[in-house]
Amino acid sequence: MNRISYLLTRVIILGLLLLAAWVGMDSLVRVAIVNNGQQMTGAKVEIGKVRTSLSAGRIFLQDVRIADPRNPMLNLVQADAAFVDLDPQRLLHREIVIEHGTTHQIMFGAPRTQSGSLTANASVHSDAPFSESESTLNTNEEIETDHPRQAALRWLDSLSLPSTVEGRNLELASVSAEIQQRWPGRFEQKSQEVNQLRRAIEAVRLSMNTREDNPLRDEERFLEANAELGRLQVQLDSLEASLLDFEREAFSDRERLISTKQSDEAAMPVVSTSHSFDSEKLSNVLLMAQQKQHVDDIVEWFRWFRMTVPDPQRDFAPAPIRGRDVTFSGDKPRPGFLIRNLELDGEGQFAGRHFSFSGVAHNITPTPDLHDQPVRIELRAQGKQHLIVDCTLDRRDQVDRDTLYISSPDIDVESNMLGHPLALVVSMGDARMQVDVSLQMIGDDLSGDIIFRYSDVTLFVDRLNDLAGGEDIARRLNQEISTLDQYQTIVSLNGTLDNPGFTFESDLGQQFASALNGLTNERTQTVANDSRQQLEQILSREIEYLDRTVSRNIEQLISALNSEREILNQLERVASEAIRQNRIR
Amino acid sequence: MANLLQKIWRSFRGTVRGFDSSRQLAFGVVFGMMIGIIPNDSLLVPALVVIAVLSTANLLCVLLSAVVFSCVGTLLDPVTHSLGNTILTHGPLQETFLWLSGLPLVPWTRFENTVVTGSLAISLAAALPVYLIARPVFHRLQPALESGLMQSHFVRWLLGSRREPSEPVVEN
Repeated sequence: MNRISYLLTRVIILGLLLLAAWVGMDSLVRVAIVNNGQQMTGAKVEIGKVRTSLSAGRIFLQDVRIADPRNPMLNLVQADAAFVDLDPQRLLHREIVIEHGTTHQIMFGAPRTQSGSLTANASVHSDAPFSESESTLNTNEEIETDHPRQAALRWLDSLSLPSTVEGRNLELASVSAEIQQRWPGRFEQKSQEVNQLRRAIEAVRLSMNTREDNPLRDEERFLEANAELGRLQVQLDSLEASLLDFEREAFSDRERLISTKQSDEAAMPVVSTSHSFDSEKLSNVLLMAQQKQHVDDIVEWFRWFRMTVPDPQRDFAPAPIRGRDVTFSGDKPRPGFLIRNLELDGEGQFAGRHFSFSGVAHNITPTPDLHDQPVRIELRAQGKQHLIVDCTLDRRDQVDRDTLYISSPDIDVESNMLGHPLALVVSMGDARMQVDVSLQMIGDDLSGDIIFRYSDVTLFVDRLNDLAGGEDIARRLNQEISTLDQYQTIVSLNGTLDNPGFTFESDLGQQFASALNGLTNERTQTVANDSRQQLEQILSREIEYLDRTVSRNIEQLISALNSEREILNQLERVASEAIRQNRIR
Repeated sequence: MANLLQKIWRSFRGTVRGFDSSRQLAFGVVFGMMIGIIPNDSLLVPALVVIAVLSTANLLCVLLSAVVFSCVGTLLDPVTHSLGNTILTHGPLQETFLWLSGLPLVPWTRFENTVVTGSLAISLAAALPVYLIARPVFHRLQPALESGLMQSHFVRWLLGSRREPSEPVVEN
C-alpha cells in the first residue's frame, strides 16, 4: 500500500506538471517562439498573445513584431495577427514547417519606439544597408534632376540645322554692288576725256580760223594745227579703243554675274533625306524623365523585396549555440524553420499609380542553403488594374541570384508632360500602357529589360526650342503627330541597385525625328526656292543695268567720239588744203 | 477513501520535503546532475524530469542538484563538445545516428549536437560514481541536514510545518 501510494503521489505530481504545461502551453509556445526567433535573427521578437491548437497544428499570434537586426529602430515585419498551420509530421522531426500562414495588417520596415537590438549597443548593425541606400538615394535624386536636362542640352548641342539663305551674304549681291559702283566713275572719267578731246579739237579749229597777215606765219600755223590734229586723232583712236575695252569688260561683268549667281545657287542648303534630328537624342529628351521615374519605381520594388526578405547569412546575427550540430554522412539536412506559403497584402506604387496588392510568399527560411527552392513572392494587384509581380530571391549558393518579373497588360496612365523646357515640351494625354519587366541580379550586378508599350496616346507639342525650328515648326509638328497614337520604349538596366544605370530605345523619338526632318526639309526647300528667285531677280536687274546703263553710255561716248572724229577729219582736210594752197602761192 | 487520501498527502509531503532515505537522495542527485549538465533545449531534459518524478528519487535533491550542475554544465562545454564530437563523428556509428535522426521525436533530443551527446555521455558515465559517493554522504549527514533544514523559515513555510518532528525515515 505504501509503495502504491508513493507511486500514486508521483503520478499525481507528474499529472500536475503536465496540467501546468497544458494550461501554460500558450505561454510556453510564446516563450519558445520568442527565444528561437531571437536566436535566429539576433534581434528582438515580441508577441502579444499566442493561442495554440496542437491537435489542429494551428497557432494564432497577435501583435507580432520582429525587429530588424540591420536597423534596430525598424521592425523587419509586424502584423496585428497571424494564423499559421504547422506540418505535424515535420514537427515530429524538429522541423517547424508552416504549410500555410495568413497575416492581417502586415507591415514591413515600420518604425519602432524602442530599439530592437538584443545588445546594449544598438548601433552595431544600424549602419549597413539602410543608411547605404539612403545615401545612394541622394545620388539618384541628383541624377533624376540632372538626366533630363543633360539629355536636352545634348540634343540642342547636336542640332546642326542648315543655314538659310536669309542669314547669308549673297556673293551676287556684292558683285553687283561692286559693278554698280565701278561703272559710273569710269564713264565719268571717259566722258571727261571725251570733253577734253572736244575742247582740244575746238581749240585747234579756232586757231585754224585765225588769219595771219604774214603768209609764212599762216603756213606755220596750219602745220602746227595739222600736227595737233594728228595727235588728237591718235588720242581719239585710243579713247575709242578703250570704249571697246569697256564693251568687253561689260560682257565680262555679265559673265561674272552669271557665274556668281551659279556659285550662289551651288552654295545654297541642299535638301537631303539624311536625318538632321537624331532619333535617339530626341527619345532621350522626350522620355528621359518619364523613364527615370519608371526605372526608379521598379528598382525600388527590387530593393524593397531584397531588403524586406533579408539574407539570413548576411543580415541576421544568430546567437551562438553550444557545441556544433553534426551532419551525419548520407544525411541531407533540411531547414529547421520554413514557411512554405504566407499570404501577404500591402500597397505599392508603379507607373505613378497606387496599387493594393495581395499575394503569397513561398519558401521563407533562415537557412536557404538547406532548402531546395528559393524564396518566391507572388503579388497580384487588386481592382481593375491588372498587375502581376513575381520576385525570386535565391540565397542557396555563394552568389545571390534574384529575379523580378512585373507584368501588366493594361495600366491607365494619367496625363503628363514629356520632354524638358529647355528643348522640347510635349503634353501627353491619358493613355494606356502595357509593361513587361524582367530584371535579374547576380551578386550585386543588376541587368534586365523593361518594355513599355503605350497606346491611345495623344500628344501636343507645347514648346520647341528655336534651334529646332521654334513655334512655326512646333505648330506644324502638331499636325504631323496628330496621327501618332502609340509608341514603345525598351529600357536596358545595368549597374547595381544602389547605383542603377539604364539606356533606352524608343520609336517615339524616331517618329518625332522623322516628322521634324520632313518639316525642316520642307522649310529649307521653301527658303532655297525663295533664294533662287532672289538671285534671279538680282541677276536680271544687274544684266539689265549692264545692258541698259553701260551699253548706252558706251554707245553715247562712241557716238560723241564719232562726231569728234568727223570734225577732226574736216579740220585735217582744211588744214591740208590750206598748207597746199600756201605752198602753191 | 479519506484514509487513502490522507496517506497520499503524507507521502506527498514526505516526498517534497526530501527527508527520504539516503538512497533516494543519492538518486535525486544523479538525476539532477544529468538534468543540469545536459543542455535544456534537448528533449532529454524533460524526459529525465518525467523519469525522476516517476522514480523514487528525492525531488528536492533533483531540483537542487539540477541547479548546481547546470552551472557546472556550461563550464564543461569544451570537454563535452570534444567528447560528443568524437562520438558523433565515429564512422561505424554513422548509420545508427542517421537512423535515429529519422525517427519521430528523436531529433528533438538534439543528440546531433556535440555538447548534448557529450554531456549525456559524461552524465551517464558519472551516474554510478556520483551515486556511490552521494549515498554514504547523505547517510552520514542526513540527521544534521534534516535538523538544519528544519531551522530554515523557508523550508518550514514550504512544508507548512510548525517545528513538528519529521516523519520517521523508512529504509526500503
